[in-house]
Amino acid sequence: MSQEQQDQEQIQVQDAAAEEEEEGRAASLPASSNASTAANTPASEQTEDEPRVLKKRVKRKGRLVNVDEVLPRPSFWPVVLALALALFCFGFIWNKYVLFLGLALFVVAAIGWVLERR
Amino acid sequence: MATSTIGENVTAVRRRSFSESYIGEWLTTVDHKKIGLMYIVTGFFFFLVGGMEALLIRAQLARPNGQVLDPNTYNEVFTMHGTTMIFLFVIPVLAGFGNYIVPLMIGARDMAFPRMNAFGYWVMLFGGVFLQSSFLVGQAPNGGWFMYAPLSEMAAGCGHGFQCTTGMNADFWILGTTLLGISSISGSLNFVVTIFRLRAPGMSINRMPLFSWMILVMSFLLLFALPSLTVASVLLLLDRHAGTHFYQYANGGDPLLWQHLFWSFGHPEVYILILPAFGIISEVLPVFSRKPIFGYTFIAWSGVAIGFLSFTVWAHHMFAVGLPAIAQAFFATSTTLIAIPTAVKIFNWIATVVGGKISFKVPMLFALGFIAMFLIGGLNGAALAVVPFDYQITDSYFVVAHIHYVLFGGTALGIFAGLYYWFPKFSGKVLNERLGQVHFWLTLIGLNLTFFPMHLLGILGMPRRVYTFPDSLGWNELNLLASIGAFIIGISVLVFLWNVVTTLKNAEKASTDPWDAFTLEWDTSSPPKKYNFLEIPIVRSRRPFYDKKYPENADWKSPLSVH
Repeated sequence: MSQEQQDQEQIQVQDAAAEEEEEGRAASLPASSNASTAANTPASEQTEDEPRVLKKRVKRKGRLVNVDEVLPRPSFWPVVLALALALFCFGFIWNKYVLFLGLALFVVAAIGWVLERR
Repeated sequence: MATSTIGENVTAVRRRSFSESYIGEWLTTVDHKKIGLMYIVTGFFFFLVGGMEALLIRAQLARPNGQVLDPNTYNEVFTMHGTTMIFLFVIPVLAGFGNYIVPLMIGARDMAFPRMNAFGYWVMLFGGVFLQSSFLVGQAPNGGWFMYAPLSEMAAGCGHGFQCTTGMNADFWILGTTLLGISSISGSLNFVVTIFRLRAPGMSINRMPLFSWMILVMSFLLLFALPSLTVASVLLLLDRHAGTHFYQYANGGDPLLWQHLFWSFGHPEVYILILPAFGIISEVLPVFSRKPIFGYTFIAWSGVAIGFLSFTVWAHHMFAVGLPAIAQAFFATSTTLIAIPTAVKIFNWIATVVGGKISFKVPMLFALGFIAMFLIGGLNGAALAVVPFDYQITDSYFVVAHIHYVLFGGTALGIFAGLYYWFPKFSGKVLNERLGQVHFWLTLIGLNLTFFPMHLLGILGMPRRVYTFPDSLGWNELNLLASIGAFIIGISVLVFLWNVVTTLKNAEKASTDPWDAFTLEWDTSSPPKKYNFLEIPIVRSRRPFYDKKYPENADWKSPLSVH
């Protein structure tokens, strides 16, 4: 491996190590490198041919998570269920078909709400 | 279309889903901040509707033998004014503040049940539309906001000297308030679980902001009081449509049953309307006095005491119906007793302000105005607790003066204090100070001009709910004054709306903490990010954000402060 390629491997590993510190998880390394072997080899035993791995103390800060993993997803069942109740009340005042429509929509919305995957 | 990067130099393209469109985002949102804003905006819309109804009432009563409204329309207008203001303005706006601010204050990312939160809002909106649609069919509720039986009965309750409501008017009210009750119950359950289970590490119940305390007590009150209204409403519906006789004297029922059931809800309801405003004042006063709140524990637990006692006073609305003397004595005592925890709060607020470095910004003006106006409302309420005095002025304009001093001078001023205080958090902009001052002074002058004369009108014998009055009773000038005051309030509301519109359009972005405040909601961007806090904070005192900004003076370091 030429010196230039060795330097390139080192940067990649350094970048990976910096990424690990930043994200607190093991960064994936280029498949073609010998860095995984080098990472386990003490510096004193590393030869010139192996890429030098800068071992840094890694503070595990916990995995940064995506906002969508933490927060609940939007849902249209609340507005549908509310509409069902309103239709039921309108139907009581006005027209029994609207009342039954409200009742049916209530059942559909309740089932949809319960079965919705969150 | 929406795009997402799935690898280096690889971008996927997909069709944008409905919940990512502008309308879809609002229709399907479960974000407590968006829901809070929707509650507040919808509540203010209904404030304008209720306000127009108030101006119609005052236009009708400005002069004797008024011709602005006929008697039946007048009945509908005053009923809908009360119903709209209580169920569609105050409760939704306070729920909106709670939804937006409480999770931020306690260091949570959202409410405990986000979908139920959204459901509560939509039921409120559809309930409001349902109620207001009664005007379109000419059958708006017309029996007063407390819809007494047997007036609210249908044909079977009629006769024997009783009038009743043969149209659908009362049904609109019953079903509308039931829908709104469902909204309130779902919101309350959410608040209780959120406050008990999602507080940030270190935030014991004793370190929680007082606004969150008051929302918690309000939520318990709603959960325990609303069933009474629901039962009363269902029994009335059965009387009207299923041939039962719960409230029909002629058929063995008891009209007083409605009053007992309604006021078992109705009195806790008025504390539901005021407690969150107490909480807002308890947040605003310390910040603008640059001192911690005085007597935190007393303010918090006096709120709890008010909550318990509110269930023991309901029959003070019924002193003139012929209750036994022992019952009247009990309720007079309990009503006087409930003044004590309220007075504790007022003294603690005054002690907070005294010795502080007071800044008379608009939120502080509204907070101080709240204390003064609520004090007047509380004093005339204590007068109403005296049974012989109540015999004279029950169902007169004295009672109208009382409820408006506590609900407008109290809750509405508290709401405006909260709006001016938290508007920078909602929008990133501070409302114009000069326009805010104009709004405040016009409101204060208008409300006193409108409602103070009503004390005198009540003592002079003017009953509630009369659509006009004759020339010869000496009520003319006082009514005219009250009507002028109402229109001044109307102008003040226009000033406020102008302030909101011009601020949102033209004002510069403000800092995330324009008031140098103390609590966690100010430790976020304005408006806050979707996830509220990048890292959930750890709380060590009652003023966690103050501690973060001024670590050398942090509350948890001081041996004198209780934290």
